[in-house]
Amino acid sequence: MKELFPLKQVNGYIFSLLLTVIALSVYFFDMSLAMGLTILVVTAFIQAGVQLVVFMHAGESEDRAGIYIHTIFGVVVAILTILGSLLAMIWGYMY
Amino acid sequence: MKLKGVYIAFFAIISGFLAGCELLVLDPKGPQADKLANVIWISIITMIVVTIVVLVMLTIILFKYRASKQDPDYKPPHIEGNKYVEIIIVGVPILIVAFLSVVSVISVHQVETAPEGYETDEPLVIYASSSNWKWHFSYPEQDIETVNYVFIPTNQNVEFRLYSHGTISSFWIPQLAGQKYAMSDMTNYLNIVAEEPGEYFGRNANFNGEGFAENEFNVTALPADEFDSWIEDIQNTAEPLTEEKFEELLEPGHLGHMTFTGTHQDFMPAPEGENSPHNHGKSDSEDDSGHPH
Amino acid sequence: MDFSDRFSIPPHDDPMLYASIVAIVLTSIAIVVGVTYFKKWGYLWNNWLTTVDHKRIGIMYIISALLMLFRGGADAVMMRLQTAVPDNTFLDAQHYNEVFTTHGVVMIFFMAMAFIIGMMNFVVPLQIGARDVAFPRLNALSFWLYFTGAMLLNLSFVVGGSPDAGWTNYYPMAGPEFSQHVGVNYYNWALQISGIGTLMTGINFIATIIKMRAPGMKLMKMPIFIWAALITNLMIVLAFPVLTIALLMGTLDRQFLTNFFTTSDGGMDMMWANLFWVWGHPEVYILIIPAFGIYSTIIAAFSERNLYGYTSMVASILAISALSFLVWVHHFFTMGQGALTNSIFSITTMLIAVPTGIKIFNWLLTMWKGKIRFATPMLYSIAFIPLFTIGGSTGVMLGMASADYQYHNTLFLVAHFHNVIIPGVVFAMIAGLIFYWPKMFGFMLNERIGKWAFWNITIGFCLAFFPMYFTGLNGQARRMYTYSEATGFSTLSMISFIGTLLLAVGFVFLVYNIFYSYRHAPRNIGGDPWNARTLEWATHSPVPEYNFAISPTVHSEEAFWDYKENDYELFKGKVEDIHMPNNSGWSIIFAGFFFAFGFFFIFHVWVGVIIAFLGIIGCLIYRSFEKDDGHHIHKEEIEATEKELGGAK
Repeated sequence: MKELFPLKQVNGYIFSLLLTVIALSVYFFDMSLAMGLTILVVTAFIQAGVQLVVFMHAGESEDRAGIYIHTIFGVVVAILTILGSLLAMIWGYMY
Repeated sequence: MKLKGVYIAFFAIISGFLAGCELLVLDPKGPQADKLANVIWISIITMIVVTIVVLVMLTIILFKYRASKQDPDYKPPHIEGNKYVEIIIVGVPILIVAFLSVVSVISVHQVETAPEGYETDEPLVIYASSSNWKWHFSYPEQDIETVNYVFIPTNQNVEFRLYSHGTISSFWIPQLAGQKYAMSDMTNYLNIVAEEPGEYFGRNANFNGEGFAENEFNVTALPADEFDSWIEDIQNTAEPLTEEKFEELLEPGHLGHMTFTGTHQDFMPAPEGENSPHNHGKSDSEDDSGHPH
Repeated sequence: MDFSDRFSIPPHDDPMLYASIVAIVLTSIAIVVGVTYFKKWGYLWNNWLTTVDHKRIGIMYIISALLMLFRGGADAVMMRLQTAVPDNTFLDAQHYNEVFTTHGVVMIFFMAMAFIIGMMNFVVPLQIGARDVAFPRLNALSFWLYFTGAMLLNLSFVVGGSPDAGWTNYYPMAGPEFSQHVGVNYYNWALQISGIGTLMTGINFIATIIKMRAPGMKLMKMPIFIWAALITNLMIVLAFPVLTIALLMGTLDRQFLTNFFTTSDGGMDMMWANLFWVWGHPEVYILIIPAFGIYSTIIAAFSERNLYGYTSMVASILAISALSFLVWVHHFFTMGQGALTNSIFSITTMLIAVPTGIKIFNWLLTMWKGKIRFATPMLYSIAFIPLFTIGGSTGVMLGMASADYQYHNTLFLVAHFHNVIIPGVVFAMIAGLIFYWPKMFGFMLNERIGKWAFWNITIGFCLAFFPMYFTGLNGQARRMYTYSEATGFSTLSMISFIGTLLLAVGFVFLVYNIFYSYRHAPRNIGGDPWNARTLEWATHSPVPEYNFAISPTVHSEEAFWDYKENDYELFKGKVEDIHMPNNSGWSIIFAGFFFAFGFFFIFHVWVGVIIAFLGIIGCLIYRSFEKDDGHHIHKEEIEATEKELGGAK
């Protein structure tokens, strides 16, 4: 019976609901813009990770190392692109 | 061998041109363009050396190891690679790039600030704004405005404040300084000094539609006293610029040289400080003197 | 603008446009009549239009790329003719703007991209010893979406008007304030649709290379072209979504009057430039990395030596791909972001020269101690090395932020990127095409005519583009439809025009060579006419539908060479039934709905958009419930084919 019950998925589901509730709190409670955005960004990234690992089965095949490396590379490129764009469109003009 | 002949011929042509031509960019008339011409020469020479090394290696290898020259039974060896060779082929490019990076970083800082020897001068401010397909030059201090031509005093730092009434254009006077974009939602700053009196060619370098090819302007550099009398002359003779008249000028098309008293800054200010939609440029809009960088 | 005005045919009054419309109509009629007369519709439909075979899809990509090369090439000749003499009136400003925009878009998206994807389609499964790509049906769909995009853009020329804001399509010039006619809508939708196809290709090939390699082919035992293809497709998957979003924002701005890139209401015109080049710079390397892979393959084959420094070659591809995402700001150094930002991006830009330099030296060292045969593919590869060094050197010069203030937007820049793209990408694709021609069609192209083409193209290239370095330094901006006598550009522009003509003659030789060789070349050439080194040469020419009767087992990156020279046993096991995917007309119908969707969207015909959209959804639903388990090619059939083609291995 234990093998049949998708404990991991149910836990993942509850966890992702919890993340959604935390994200929603930004709307319902009065907080600073920076605070709100931080909460949104952090929960969004954790949410994406949960979806990827629990529901999209990353890490269940033998080439999981490849999948994680590609994902991390993609995230690094995205972050560098955002930083570079800020540099080129905002920070570069400020000093 | 045909190949070698062709390449030798091309290099002869290239060096011939480099030696014989007076190319605008390599014929600077002010300190900013002079700096850039030096950087360009440094990079050209470095790169010619690199190209020649590659060419010589290629030519020797092609001569020495071509099949027609070799024993039909010759079996080329299996070679995996060699640590020392790899250190050289990584190391040498890194050294070259490091050298050029230093040149690049130093020179870009130099041309983004007031030119050497002119740092302490109070710059002459001229707003240069583009519209399809014209350049409008406003002199806020002197309270005059010109279209498609600009007069500047020699040996003085001139701060052009660039912006656009629409499309992105690029303000470029090859013999005086490198180009910079003029855009509608912010103001860019370009410092220029002309050290020789004369007429210079200027244009919009960034494609902006049908009238792009003719989107040029004239720059005339005059000694300070002649410049002052020119200003005075215009203040006495030119028509005032009204808002309706300026709206008319903004219509797409070409205009010849035009001159007005008063500037459009009064009724249509440049997108800087509090007028900039994205808070670009100067963070402190009260302080109008001095350079942002 | 009136509703019917938007469809005006031709978009503006010009005898040349009328002539081309007549030519297009006549050619179309001739094709339809010809195919009907020779009763080839069935053959065309069954063997090509509905195919899911990676080799045929690859060939269709390459044919389309060649057609687009001639379209873009005709534009190039027109541009150089217009600027050959000062104050020329052959084209007016508007027409010239449309011509250079189309030239750029066609050459990058529909020629170069199609050529490399076609080449990867043909070579990758063969070189890894697979029977097809991971998702054959998706592959066919990718092709048809690309083709749809290409046809949409070419339609703009006769219906409504071509895009005219340059291939970089900078806003606000391309926005609704300054560009009222439908040209830029065509740009948005043609690129959007073909971009979806490219993205799917990327996913497909990553899956193919990761999952379907022959037994024993570890990552570090993959031929270098496979490494190049893997990294290229990874870059496609990372870079193309940015273009998709940018195009979508542009479409919203133009067709629904939002304010992403406008000059008012919080719009920000730099954002387009930024997004475009965030995609655009990796795109340049998406084009060049497969070309590097092809050169590596060809240089090793014709030097009869293994590739020197395999590990450093792989490392340099990885380094280039990583760096290529960090340099995009060098396309707009002059935007005013100041010294610090420009310094950072200047350094990252020049850093790319390091891995590129490693590759150049590795190619030289591959030829060292080799036994160099000067076959046409090798000639292109040899010419590539010095020409690309010059192109790369001027690239480093442009990467120096300060000096770029003088090069930016001039013909110096134009000369530079043609100097990397033509010897880099185009030479590689021609070399690859000649190299793989026997594998594709079972006969070789004539070497003598091939060399004529080579010399014309190489010399033509040098004459056409080297003068632009000088006119650029002399202050000639790019994209100017004319200039005055006083500027002094005329002599060099004339030389450039003559070079363009030579290039055109070279390409005519190339096509004539196909025609000539088709008629005269011998057909029994065996599987390995070049004495090459990688797996694709271990099967027959042309390749049978199932690629390899027995899947090869591999132990090094040059397994076939070891099989020939070192008695390595490549084919272990015996012939068994092979499972193959079925052909399907689904992809072409699906792409047809996309064509209608794009076309109606461009002209705001919402009824048509809705119908086409329902068609797209319908196709998706059909595909979801379709039962298609493919078919088996039986053992006896394979043995018969192998016998006919020259004995099973």
